[in-house]
Amino acid sequence: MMLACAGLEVGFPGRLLAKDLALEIRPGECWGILGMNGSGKTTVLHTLGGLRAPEGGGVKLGGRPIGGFAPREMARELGFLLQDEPGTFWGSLQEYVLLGRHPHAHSLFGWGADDLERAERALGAVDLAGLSQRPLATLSGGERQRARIALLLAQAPNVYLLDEPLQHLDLRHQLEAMEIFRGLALAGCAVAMVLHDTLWASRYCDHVLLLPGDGVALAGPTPELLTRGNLERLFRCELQEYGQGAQRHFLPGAPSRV
Amino acid sequence: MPRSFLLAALVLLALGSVFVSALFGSVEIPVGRVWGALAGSAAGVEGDIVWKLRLPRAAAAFACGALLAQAGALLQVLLRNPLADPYVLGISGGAAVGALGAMLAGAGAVAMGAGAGGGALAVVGIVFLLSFRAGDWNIYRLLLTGVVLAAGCGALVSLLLTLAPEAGVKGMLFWLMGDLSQAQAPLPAWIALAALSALGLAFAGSLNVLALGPLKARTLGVAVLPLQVGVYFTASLGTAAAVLLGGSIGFVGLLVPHALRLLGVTDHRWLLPMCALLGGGFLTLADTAARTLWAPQQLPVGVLTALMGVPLLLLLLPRGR
Repeated sequence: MMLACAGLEVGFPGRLLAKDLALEIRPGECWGILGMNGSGKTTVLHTLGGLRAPEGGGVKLGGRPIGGFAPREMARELGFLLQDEPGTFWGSLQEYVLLGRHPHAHSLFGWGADDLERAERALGAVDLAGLSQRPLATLSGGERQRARIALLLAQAPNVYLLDEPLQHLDLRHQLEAMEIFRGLALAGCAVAMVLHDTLWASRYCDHVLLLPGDGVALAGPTPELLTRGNLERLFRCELQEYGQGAQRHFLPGAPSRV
Repeated sequence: MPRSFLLAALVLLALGSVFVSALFGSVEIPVGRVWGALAGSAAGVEGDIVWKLRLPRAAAAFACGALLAQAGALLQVLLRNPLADPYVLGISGGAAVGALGAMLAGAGAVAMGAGAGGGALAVVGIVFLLSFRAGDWNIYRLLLTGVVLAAGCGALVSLLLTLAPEAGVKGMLFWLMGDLSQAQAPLPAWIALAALSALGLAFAGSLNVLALGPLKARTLGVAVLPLQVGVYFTASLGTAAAVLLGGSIGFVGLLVPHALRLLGVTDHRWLLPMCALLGGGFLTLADTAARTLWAPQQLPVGVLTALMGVPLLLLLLPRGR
């Protein structure tokens, strides 16, 4: 299912973060969204996911306006990894991940065998299989982030919007998470994620959206847009370029105000 | 502990509490005759005592406890605050102002009930109108509005107590501490309990998701605003029904949901029915103690719920996960 927007205006009264934004995030594609802190990455992602209304333009999911979906129908099609989850959850890790099955639930009491199996598989995929009965609140920050990814996998939507999915994760689990997201795209899902590390964008994203925060966003194939010049303008600092092709990445040099 | 065992134990506790309530009182009736009366084979005074005095009182206590415990659990999720209890939004304060105002005016029991009901409903409405914004209901604004109104009601209650003639103060204090000795007609509370239980079960799956925060709940297909409004009115009206019957009985709405969570019950599809059983059974036992421990003097049951509840919760806390 394709997530598309045209003429999208995103921002707040008095400040436009993205104007006239046109995107088509197609099944099988993996998009990286990059920009400085406060440039509007989360706001754009929330607007694409229907969590906030745009200032102008519209978003369509599978050709239908995103506001026309019933809440549960929407949650079956589009899944969201939020940057923060401020709620208080008292239950176990397994009970938490099973909440991903809420949009699919048919029974008032308990979960079906399929739900339980999907939750177990999702926990295995994020390397948390042995901790399913542990209270969520007792897990470390990185384990909780993996639990959030597992919940999303149990939700099994067709479109994945991920806000900083690698936060709190160690290097190995960052790699495993990115492999999971690539696997989802290869399976025909559309994936878009906010990233800070240009290496992950080079390696795993076929498209990028660069948000400079002044309204003029750049969107297109990674090899064309993920260049030193674009990123220096984006992050307003000098960068050194390392590697080539899918290994190309950038690290800051001396700070400056470009 | 497996949830099905716990559920069976709570059903036994609930039934047992009603039996204990029928067994004890100022007139000593042997167990066999109480059993006979419950089975319908005992007639005469003993049958009347069991059926017309003790069982209606047990029914009132059970309904009150079940309502308060479920309302507490609902408000703790709605307000995302583990310290929330059914009275945090000022409902008992509004009822107290209405009831004490009627008492001070020398009104009878019916007018006092009407005053309490009017006060409770007025607070439910005012808190909602002051805090609600369509499309964005900030739960912290709701909580603060309720807390501020509760504080205002508390000040008015103090004023009414100061102005009341000395003879009337004791009755007012009993009402404020929670007292079931005047609870004659539990039927409206049972109707409210049936409605609250049914709605609670309908909300339960979505409440589990709402515990992750309203934004995450939206991404998981929950229509958050209608759910929040539904939970607010369900919990508020359930609390009002309990307060009308038994005054401000404290601690049940705070203690019971947490006691069950400490026993590992966190899924609202199980938690809410279990709250009804444990809250009802707990208050029935507390009320039996309140009317027998110091007989013929009756103690306000609210004092007993706190005296029984504090050690129980302290005992359970070290088991918490």
